Amino acid sequence: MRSFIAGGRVYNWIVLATLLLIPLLGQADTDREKFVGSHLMCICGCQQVLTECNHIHCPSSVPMRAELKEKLAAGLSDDQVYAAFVGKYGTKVMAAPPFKGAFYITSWLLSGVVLITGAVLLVLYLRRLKSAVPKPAPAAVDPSKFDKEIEDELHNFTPED
Amino acid sequence: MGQVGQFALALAFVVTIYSIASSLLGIRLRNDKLIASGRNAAVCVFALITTAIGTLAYLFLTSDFAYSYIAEHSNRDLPNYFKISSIWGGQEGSLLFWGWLLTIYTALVVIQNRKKHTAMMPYVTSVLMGTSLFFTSMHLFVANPFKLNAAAVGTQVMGVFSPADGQGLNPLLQDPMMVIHPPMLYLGFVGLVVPFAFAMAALITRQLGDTWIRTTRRWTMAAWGILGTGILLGGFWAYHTLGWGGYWAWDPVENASLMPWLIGTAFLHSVMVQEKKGMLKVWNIVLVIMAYIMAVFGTFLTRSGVVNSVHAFAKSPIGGYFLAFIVMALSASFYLLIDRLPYLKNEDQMGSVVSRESSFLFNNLILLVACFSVLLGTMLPSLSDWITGNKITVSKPFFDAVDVPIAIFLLFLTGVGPLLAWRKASTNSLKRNFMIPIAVACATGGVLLIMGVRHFYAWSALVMSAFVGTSIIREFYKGARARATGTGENFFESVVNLTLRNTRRYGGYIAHFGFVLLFIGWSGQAFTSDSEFEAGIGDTFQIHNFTLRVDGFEPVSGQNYTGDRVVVGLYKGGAKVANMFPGRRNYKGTGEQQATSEIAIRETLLEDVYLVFQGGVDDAGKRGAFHVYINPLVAWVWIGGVVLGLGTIIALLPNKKAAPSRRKKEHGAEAIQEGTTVA
Repeated sequence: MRSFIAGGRVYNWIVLATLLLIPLLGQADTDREKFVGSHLMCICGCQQVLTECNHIHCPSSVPMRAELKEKLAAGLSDDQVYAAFVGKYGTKVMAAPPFKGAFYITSWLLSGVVLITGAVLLVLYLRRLKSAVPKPAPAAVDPSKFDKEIEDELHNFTPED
Repeated sequence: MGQVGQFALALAFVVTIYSIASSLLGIRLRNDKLIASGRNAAVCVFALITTAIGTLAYLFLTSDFAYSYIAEHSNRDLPNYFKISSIWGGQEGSLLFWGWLLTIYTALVVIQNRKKHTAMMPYVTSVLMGTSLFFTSMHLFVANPFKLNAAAVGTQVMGVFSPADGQGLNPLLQDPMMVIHPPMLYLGFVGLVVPFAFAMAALITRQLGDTWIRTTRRWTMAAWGILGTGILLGGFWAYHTLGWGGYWAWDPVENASLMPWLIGTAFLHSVMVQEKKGMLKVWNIVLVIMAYIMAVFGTFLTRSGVVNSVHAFAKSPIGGYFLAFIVMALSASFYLLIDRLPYLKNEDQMGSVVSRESSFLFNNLILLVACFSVLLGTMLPSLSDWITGNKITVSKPFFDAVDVPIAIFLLFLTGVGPLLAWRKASTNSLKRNFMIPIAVACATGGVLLIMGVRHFYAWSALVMSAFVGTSIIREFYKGARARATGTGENFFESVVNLTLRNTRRYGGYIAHFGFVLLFIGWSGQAFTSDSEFEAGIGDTFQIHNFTLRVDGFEPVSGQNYTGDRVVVGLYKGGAKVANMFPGRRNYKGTGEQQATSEIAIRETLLEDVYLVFQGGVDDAGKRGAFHVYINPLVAWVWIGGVVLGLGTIIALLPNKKAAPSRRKKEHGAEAIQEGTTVA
């Protein structure tokens, strides 16, 4: 394994090949009814998305799913289906807030913005600290005086945290 | 009999106040007897609340429906073990249960430390008892489980009314998992009060060294582990009982348990930086405060009616009291923290951006952002209503989009952190430590793509799992190889002894490995498929490479239910692999009959066949409607949970002392130098 790594070529090829294959990724093709239904809520009070409501003979999800099928069969786009459901059941029927309006866009992006801002601030903070730390002076002591200590530590070796 | 419980609660209230007063007065007057009396009073409160909860258990077991809590959450047909779990089946009882667990923790802490930390302990007792006082007040004045049913004519109360039977326990809670899951969650929540109490005591006494950290580390880890187990058991219950094919729905109540766990995870990591380097002292106290607040906030969320959840208790005025308590605790603790900032100076400096301590900081950042995003999503419906007047729902699509990338990034850091050296990681050590995990991750990524995996999050999670899994296995391999060379032990012995000699480190690695397995299990959700069908006896249904054949319908009955079950043969490649028995039950309750689905699951390491019987579709009862799911990799979620728990238990064990070395001096030093990379 060591020579394999040391050679570096195979390793580089693996990394390169993976990077080249990544563009193949994308959202898997899913059943459209399931996809659209997973963005709608059942309104029976179960707090589950429409496709996951498992209430036996549910008075809400059964007709709603039939309605969904009907609208998809009629050729409506996803957005048209959502709009029709919102028109009939209100905004609560959507399983997630809309990506429009300052309040909702902020809600969607806030966590990511906090993460990125936090990471940038953290890096800046660490760099500032690093530059503030004085470089250690060259050792003026005879390193052989530590030989016994090193030998003792190796003798009782257990990797530390 | 209820009067005994009521009296115990009233007495507990008084003794709790006495305990706080005695402890604080004892410090002021430097009177050890008063301090000891305050401590003994805390143990006495435990005895009194135990009496109260014992009384409640007795009332359930004897079906004393004169008490409204018993009448609303039990009935005569309910089996005894569910009568006991009914204690936490409703608002009042579950609060009493919370308070009782707190008194257990308090008693254990004060007894364990009765001869230690003499300056801090009276304050620890006071903080624990202060929290207890809040809960005892709730039991007595707001959510009293010993309230009698009032028989009224018009508005005039004429006496006590005892119905012939109770309303029964929610059928979904009549599951063995529900006997264990809530106590585990509460034990986890309540356990987070202990480090908070010590942190506050450390701030008050200005003893802000490592003492409070070392004293509470095991308490925190145990509480965190128990809370995590509780969360997983909740998922296990949901998966095996609710019948929607999944185990996590981002329900507000689920989120309420996740938030303190995330903060606890951040604390358990950053506390290592304080122990090792004397840094992050302020940060650690902030985390302890937040974990405590989040534990109380979670309890508030489920009881206030602020959020809609199928798991939440009925809306009650209790929310306002909780909010007031949270604001008070938050203000007091942050005031103390700010006041004591001069005593919380770092003893060392960060060496480099690429170092173990900075990786802990990034780990903390991600965990906190994860907690923030869960909190934001949970509160968003209420915020939207308050700010825009628009009622919205925030469910899986939002949380999946926002939190899954954060979780994958966290998994990445789980692999990176332990490979970095303290202070500064050199380029060479980075190369040496990262090459193999990256190579394995890349190879995994390529294989997955060739296999047709196109779901980005699932692909990323599996690639990261390969990276982290390899790095953990490599750490064990390196350590064990070095030890085997040095001691002459065989490799297996070396792995075991290595782990037992540094339980915290290697227990942590095992916990990380459990986390990897959890991710593998979670990624399976991307490949779930399901279908609904109707079938009669002899009919078959095909899904993926499985065929289901309905073989019969039969009635079933139990102590408090009747129902039907279906015998379904499961075939793969023409051969029968299992018989499945999905069913429906109608639970006896006064007034109405409540139907539930009994799920049949054929579980394997690769995939689960999850079958739900939705009910008969003809009057003869010979034809039914079914919903079948193929859920890949779910078993790894439970296995991951077990491994995570095992790692936590190992990390809690004390280190095994070094045995006399059998190391061969002439080869040992060289071997160890080659084997160890930990700087």
